[in-house]
Amino acid sequence: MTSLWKVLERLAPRLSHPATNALVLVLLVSGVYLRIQDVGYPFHHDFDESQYVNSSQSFLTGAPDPECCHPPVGKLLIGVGMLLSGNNPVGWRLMPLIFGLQCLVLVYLLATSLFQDRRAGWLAAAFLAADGFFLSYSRSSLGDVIIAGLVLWSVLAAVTARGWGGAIACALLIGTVTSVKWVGLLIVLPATLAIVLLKRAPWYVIFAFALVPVVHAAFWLLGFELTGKPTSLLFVVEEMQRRANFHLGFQHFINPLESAWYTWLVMWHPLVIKTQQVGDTLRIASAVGNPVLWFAADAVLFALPVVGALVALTPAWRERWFSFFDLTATRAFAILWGSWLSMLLLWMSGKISTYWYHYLYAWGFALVLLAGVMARVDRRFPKVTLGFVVVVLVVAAWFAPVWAELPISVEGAHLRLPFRSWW
Amino acid sequence: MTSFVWLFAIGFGVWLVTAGKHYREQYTQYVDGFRLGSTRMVELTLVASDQQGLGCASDTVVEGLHCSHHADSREAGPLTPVDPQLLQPYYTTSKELLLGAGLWLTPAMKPPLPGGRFTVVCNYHVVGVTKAVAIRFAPTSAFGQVGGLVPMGTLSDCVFP
Repeated sequence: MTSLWKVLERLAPRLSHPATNALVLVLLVSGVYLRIQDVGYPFHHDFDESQYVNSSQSFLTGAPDPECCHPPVGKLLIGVGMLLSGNNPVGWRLMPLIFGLQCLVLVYLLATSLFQDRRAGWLAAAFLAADGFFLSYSRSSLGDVIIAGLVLWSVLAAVTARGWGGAIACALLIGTVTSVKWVGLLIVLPATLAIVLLKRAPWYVIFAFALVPVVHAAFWLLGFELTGKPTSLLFVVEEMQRRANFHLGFQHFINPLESAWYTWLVMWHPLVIKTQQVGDTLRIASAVGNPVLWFAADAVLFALPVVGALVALTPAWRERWFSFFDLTATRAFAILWGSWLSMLLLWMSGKISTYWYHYLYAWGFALVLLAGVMARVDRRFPKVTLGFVVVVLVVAAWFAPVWAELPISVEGAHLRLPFRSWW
Repeated sequence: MTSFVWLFAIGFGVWLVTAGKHYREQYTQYVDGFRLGSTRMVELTLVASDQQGLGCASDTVVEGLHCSHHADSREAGPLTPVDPQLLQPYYTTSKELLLGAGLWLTPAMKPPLPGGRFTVVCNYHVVGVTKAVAIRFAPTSAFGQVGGLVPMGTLSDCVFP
């Protein structure tokens, strides 16, 4: 008992102000509770849930995959939840919930490892817990939080890799996330950057990433085997071409739910992914983020390249920078910023229809980046960090009913989601 | 630590295969409620406009029973609403989906039919099953793919309960 207490004490948040530690724990506990509570509601499919659930059921029963566009892993993973809990609302949403909860741990580990500072880890986990974008997708049977979790896993594996073993694990994870949606392949860029920049493993272990297409093909073959299709590589290529053409054939901006990637940065068109109305009471899941975290992260994301250029060009700025951030933090910023940007590249290309949820894959890195900056701020200005965490908590409490489908009046919901483009 | 991860991975893999097989058996039995060659009484839920509205798309043809459209949504041939071999999708009152032919030719279904939603009880003779079918519930709607096995058969001896 005493040793358990010692372990807990050693792991506990160590921010500069004791009140900040307490608030971080409040954010985490309430974030976990909001994700789990009544996850089986509603008792039917909402938004695109039917696509994933019907496909998962097909993989489980051996019928053809009715979903049009994506590789099989997201649907297979949701199927694992249905194996665990049955073909029912909890079963449909179990794996996204598990990934949503994992993300809290992943950002802690990623921030701690990158910044060599546990306070960055605790802040990252608290920020993600208090964010409605991650929260709402953790409660829906959709593949997006699975991708967000797997890209965090991939970068974490690259950051912590010490040799071939770590690099191979990273390659397996990248192959897996690529097999949920192809956009996952882009995480190979920051993973390579992390290995080369951190030098924790020799640079040549990046050749392990040659395994990514092998893993991808293996998942296709597994999907074909389960649904009774030909298990040949030729058929994999044909199926990939068919689905790629399907993606490229979509007409852009005819779906009112679409939004251009640059509008995500100002939270222009977040989606409501579940809505139930019973009398005058609404239960909705809006994927709108926590505005405090959102715009603070934006500020950091935009300031970094500008300040980075000044640091590179002028000795005075360099001196100023290194009086605040050390080399470890500088490398961490580069990797996180690179990860965030990499997960936007496909959407920036303009070739693919883009929706709000596509930003979820990049958003986790933005939160870790913000946590890294706030952890440094906490060293010198503990009250600033405390104030920031207080505001994050208050805003999260205000938005919680419309993130987590808590019963709320129609007026209350409209007060929290006041813009037309937020519905 | 590494050995624990391996142990977990192996245990998880074994569970996954076992649970997957069990799940498949469980849901196959559910579809097997309509056994091939058997005849079962079913209560269908309908509206009068379903004769024109309901349609399916599949390349599966069993004993001449066929959908109005091919799997790629092309029409399978000239459509006649009184084709005794034309399959249409119906839901039973217990929400089971089936493909049935001949419903609208049974004497009970002669107009005038009840207004609004009504149910009818028929004998359903199962002649086949398909894994690949898309359905729609209005003539102008797009076909939506159905996951899982769907029985195909003929409907006869219908009565209003």
